[in-house]
Amino acid sequence: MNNKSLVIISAFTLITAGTALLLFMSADSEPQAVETRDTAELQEDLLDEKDRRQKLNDELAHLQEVYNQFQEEEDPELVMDDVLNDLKRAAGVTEVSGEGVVLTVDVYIDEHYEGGGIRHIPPYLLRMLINELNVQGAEEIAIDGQRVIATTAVREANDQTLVNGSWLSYFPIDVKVITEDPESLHHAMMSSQTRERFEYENLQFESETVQSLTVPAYDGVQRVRHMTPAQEG
Amino acid sequence: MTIKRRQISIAVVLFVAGFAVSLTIQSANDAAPATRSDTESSSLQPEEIQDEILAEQEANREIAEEISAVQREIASFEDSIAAREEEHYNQLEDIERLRMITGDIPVSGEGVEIRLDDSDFNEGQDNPNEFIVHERHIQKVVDELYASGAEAVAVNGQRLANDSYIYCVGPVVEVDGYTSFAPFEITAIGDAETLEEAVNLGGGVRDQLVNDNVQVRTDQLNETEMAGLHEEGAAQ
Repeated sequence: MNNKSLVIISAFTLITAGTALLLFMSADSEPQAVETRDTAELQEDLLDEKDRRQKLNDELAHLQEVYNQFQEEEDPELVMDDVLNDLKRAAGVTEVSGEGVVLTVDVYIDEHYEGGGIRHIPPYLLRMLINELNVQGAEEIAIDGQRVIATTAVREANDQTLVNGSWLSYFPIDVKVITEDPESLHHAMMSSQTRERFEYENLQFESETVQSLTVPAYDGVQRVRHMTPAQEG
Repeated sequence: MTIKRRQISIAVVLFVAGFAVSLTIQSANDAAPATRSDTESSSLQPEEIQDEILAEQEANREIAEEISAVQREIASFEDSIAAREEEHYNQLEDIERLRMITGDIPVSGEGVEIRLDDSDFNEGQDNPNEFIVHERHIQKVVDELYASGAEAVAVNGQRLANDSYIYCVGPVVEVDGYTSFAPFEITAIGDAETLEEAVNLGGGVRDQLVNDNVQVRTDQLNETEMAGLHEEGAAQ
């Protein structure tokens, strides 16, 4: 009698527990994971848009200031000088000083290394580094004394890496970065995936924040032969 | 002895039963309102975020238009100064040249379009990741174009600057925060023939990309137009 009821109770309990577990799991697992990812992605898109709004507003404020200067300044030629100087800076044809970060790229060999000599940073890796620096808010970059401008090419010839058509020197290689927030860029770079990628290629970089550094001007010629300003409709 | 044993069994059973009941209630409580508030909040919350994104994009478009308008006003100031005083004519030319270089203003000219496509992935092949376009593929094309004299380059209509970044996640590419989708079209302004030849050179970029299972198509363009940096690219 007692045994019987015990069996019934146990059976009932097990079924309930099983059903509960099933319910619990099916209710919770997949759909939520999918939806939180979607939400996270959307939220990231939103942040991107807000970032852009910030940049556009800065740009607009700057232009409005120039515009006001043109209107108020008795000597508009002076304003034109300012405009020209700003553009030169943006195009990378002047040297720029400011606070920032210096990365030093060097060979990284542990005791298990059995490959040959490491002679250069592969271009894809250097591009990855520049990409990451720009994501982290780099304003100006110079690699081994070569200023990175819009039309800078990073490529490989004869197992050597060229930046702006110049061979990089042997390790260690300096990467100078000017940025508004050196501290956060430094930390972001030291914990970046890029740093791990460097280690796969038996390279590593150290990073150091600096109060003041100077990146050189781009020393090549930026030609404009095939493009003209497009008329806006 | 038997009494103790029975008591223990009953205790265990009750405990399990209690656990199960509380679990059921909790999951029912959680699942019902939670799924409802989940479907509400997750079909509504993403919607809300979506709305916010749209509003933000609209606002950004308006600011971008304002920027273009102020740029035009400034340009007309400069024109009148240059017209008034001969010596400023060269200065104005420099300014315009630099504005094209930096991407402050939209530009147009002859050039090329390089289109990168994921290769067709057949079921049963090892790794789908090996059949999609990655940012290093895009970057390789961009570097080759610059090395061959490209004066301006855009990815899916988005003009590249000195501080640009490119991010690829599956079929989505993000350039400086602007998102667009595969296929990836890289346009360059420069000598069309030179640029196309450089990409197609034997053992060059095209061959390397094809080796990586990326489909590459190149076309010369008589005239292509590129938006300024503050504008949203054309190929959205």
